[in-house]
Amino acid sequence: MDYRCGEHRMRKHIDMLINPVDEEEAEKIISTYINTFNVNKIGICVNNIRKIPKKYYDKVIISYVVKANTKKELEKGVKDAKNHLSKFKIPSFVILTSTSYDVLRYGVEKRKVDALLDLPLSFEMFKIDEVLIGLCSQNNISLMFNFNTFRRSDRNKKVKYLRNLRKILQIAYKKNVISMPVSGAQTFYEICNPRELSSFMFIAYRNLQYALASTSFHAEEFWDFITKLNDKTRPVAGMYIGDIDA
Amino acid sequence: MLKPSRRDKKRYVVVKILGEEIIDKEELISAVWKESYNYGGYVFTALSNLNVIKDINTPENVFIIAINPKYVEDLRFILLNLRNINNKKVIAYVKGVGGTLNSVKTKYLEGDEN
Repeated sequence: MDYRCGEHRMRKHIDMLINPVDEEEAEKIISTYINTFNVNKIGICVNNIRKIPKKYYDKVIISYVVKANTKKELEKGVKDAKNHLSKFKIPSFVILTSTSYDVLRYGVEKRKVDALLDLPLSFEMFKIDEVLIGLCSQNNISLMFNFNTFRRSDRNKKVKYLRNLRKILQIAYKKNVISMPVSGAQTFYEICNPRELSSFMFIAYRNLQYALASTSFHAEEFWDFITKLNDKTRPVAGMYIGDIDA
Repeated sequence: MLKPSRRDKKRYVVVKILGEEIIDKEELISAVWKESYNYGGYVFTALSNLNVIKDINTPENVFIIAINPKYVEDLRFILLNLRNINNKKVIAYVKGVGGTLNSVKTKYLEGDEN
């Protein structure tokens, strides 16, 4: 991955996941992102929300977080996610969190989800599976790291998170997996300036270019990928376009 | 008096704080030092030369922090973790970074005053 020196400094940084508790909090958070932090692309988790104002439709994509520790919970969660997301007319994606390795592997192999959240907490200290991250790169699944779970946890969990995060980022860099920090803000006072979020990656990996690219290049690549996936006017593979003369 | 080439190098970071209440410079200094102790310990706070500049007039809830250039990203992380100053809820973020006080004033502070 080559990030041309200086180019990422001109790009806008993006926060791909906020998780507001109410519609009021969602409105406050989105308006501060647009007005003060000058961010035009936001990802919102709609687990607790039923409406998003129409004026924000251009600037937003939505997601649903599925928490599952068994395969049945995963299947049920993905069904509920697709039912809930179909009510909004906005590009959407599904995120998985789990403490069970089997569920993560199943979700990634069968491509049930589009992103994995908080992978450092799913593994024990220093026991990270490279195969899982390799499968993520094959199936175009990205990794997200929630800053607010890190901030709210104990010192021991913080140490575990950072150590595993460092190892995961080393493997993800080799295998070209998109990895992004996200704020996961539930209320107004938990929001983060996206440029500051890239310092969360810098602390773990100590590579400034990669850290800056995670909130600018990677996030835009992911945004474009999700909007293309959700675009129904795109032709499906194997379909003829135009007339066929018999 | 040391020669300019031997003096400690500095970067001036303009920090803005979002919140409902006004915050003093002394409150900010104690809060930032406390977070930097949690982050890197006493060695980090000593080597980074963290200092909030007091002699300059700035708008409300805007401050200038001087720090060693190697530790600017660490300061960003410290500010990211700073959510509470004297039981007042805050959000702190960096508006900009500069090498001299004058450049930082012209780029980031004069727009706010107007």
